[in-house]
Amino acid sequence: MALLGLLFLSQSIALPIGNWNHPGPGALPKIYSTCLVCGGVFLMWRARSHRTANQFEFEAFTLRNIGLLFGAFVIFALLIRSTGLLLAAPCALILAYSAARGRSIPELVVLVVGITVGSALLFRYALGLPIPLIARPW
Amino acid sequence: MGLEQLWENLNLGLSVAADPGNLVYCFVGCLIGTLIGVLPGVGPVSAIAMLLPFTFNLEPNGALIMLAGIFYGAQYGGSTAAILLNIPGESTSVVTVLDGHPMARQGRAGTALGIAALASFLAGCIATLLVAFIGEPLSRLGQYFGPQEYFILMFAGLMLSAVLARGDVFKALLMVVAGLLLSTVGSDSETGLERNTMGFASLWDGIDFVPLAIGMLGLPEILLRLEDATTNKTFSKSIGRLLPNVGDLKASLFPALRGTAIGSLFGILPGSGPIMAPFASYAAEKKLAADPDRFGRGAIEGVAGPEAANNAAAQTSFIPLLTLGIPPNAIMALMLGAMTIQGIVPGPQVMTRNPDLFWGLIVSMWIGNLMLVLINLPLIGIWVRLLLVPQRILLPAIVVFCCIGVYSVNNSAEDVLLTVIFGLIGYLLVKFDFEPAPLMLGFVLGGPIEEKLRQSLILSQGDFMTFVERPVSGVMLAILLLLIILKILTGQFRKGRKSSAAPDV
Repeated sequence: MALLGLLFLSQSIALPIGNWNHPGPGALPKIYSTCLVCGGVFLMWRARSHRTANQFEFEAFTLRNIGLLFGAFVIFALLIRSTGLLLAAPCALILAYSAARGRSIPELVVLVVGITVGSALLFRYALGLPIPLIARPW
Repeated sequence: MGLEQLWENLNLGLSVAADPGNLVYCFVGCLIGTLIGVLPGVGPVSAIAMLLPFTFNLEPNGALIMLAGIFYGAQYGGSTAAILLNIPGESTSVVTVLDGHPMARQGRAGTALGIAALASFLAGCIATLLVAFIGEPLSRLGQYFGPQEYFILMFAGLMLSAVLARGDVFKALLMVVAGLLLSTVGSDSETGLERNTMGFASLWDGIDFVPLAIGMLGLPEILLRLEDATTNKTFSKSIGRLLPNVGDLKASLFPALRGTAIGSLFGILPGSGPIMAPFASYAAEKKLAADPDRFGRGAIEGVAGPEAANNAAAQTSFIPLLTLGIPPNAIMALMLGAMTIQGIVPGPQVMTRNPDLFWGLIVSMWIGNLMLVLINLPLIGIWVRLLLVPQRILLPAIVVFCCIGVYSVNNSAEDVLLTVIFGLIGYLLVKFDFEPAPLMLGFVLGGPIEEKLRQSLILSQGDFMTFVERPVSGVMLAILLLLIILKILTGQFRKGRKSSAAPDV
């Protein structure tokens, strides 16, 4: 929180504050950022004085899940324009499915085919969204 | 407003809501809402966030009718998993678990499900009438409000949403500030100066609502579901008869009416109205009961009251949004976002400029409640079977739908990547016990609150007393102060989320 506040404070430092009669574009961003910095520092101080409360550790399973799930979004973003939905959706599905417990290959195949065909029919044809089904990368 | 005028307005609403297209949207919304409510996993906030992009191509009435259906449909569906599996499908169904599941274990699952649906229907009907009656006078009052009143209303709404919310108040306040700060990204509306864009040209128009909503609300929930190994329990007993007998109906009528009254009040309040209302209703029923020891062991009043309360609160939380343009909770903030994207300026003018939308939405709520009884009771077998769909199938499908949804808004792959960044931040925040909902509320109200503050200060020539001297804003400030003092005095100011959500009511 404190870091976010500092980042935004540094961004808005050059913006004019104005005055009480006519607040400028920098007034509120500076007030909000300062509040976040102070609040973040207070939370850090509170966390130091209550060390046992609310601590969590990233387990290997959590990190793997985060990587696979966010990886699914990234791969979709990278492939959708260059290859289209028919390749981007299965790739994202495979990554997201890999994050779950109790996986099986036949189930994955059914899921990939079902969701890809279903998404194409629903979003491209039924809802008319301008998503390319097959795009040419060149 | 006379009764004749109200009748005319309701007729207008009926003509909109009964339009075949809107009936389909209402049904689809209720169906998706029930599905979301039944499946312990994605809640209505994240579900609405994830479905928002798909409504942009619809016409405004249909889009909002469908989104509203998802919200109150989830309140109905939430009770199914609570009663059958001892897992609340929604946070609003936590209390239903206490007596609903013991009833199921006694072989009275059908009665519990039937009472939950009927109490929800009764509450939905009464609350819808309340929205219709209060809506117009409040909307007219709103037309006399100046920027000072609007600023104080929004400020009080943000403060109360943090103070009255479950969890750490200080963290909730910081999340509100973070949301306000994110709303300043982009060009300043008055001077056109670039603010907080970090040099990215794509941020000149501000942060897009959909990547932020899906990233902050949707992705953390999917990750938490993946970590949760307690899902997909099964229900082995028979459901039994669905229609409650006369004795059950008699025992449930007054708790349902009291739950409706409590829920209607909580829904209008800023904060977690639909979440707190069932707790308040359960506490009231327990206090009023001749034999409080029955509670927790299958008392039907413990199902009827809270179920009526959560549904009534869901309906009345539309009042501040539709009449004043101020969302009382995160779901209404998403609805406000949807209205804005559809080109509707939220506020008192909705009733005069878009009466078809206002009254159509109200009448659709009643139709939706009727549909929900039909969806929930005769089709209970389907919902029970759906409870068995493994999370490993459900969640990857949701991920792909989210990707398509985010991409389709602006045909922008960058938006999908932005969602990942917000998702990571949102997940970390949730892990550190920060609720993302106040951030969304701050983000949505950030723009209007800045605009009204500037207007107020220009009008008063920099005099902050203008907020105290004007009667409505002065009273709102006094109420805000009183509630904060009350919160401190009752010793709840620094209570954690878990302690305040404990079912010891």
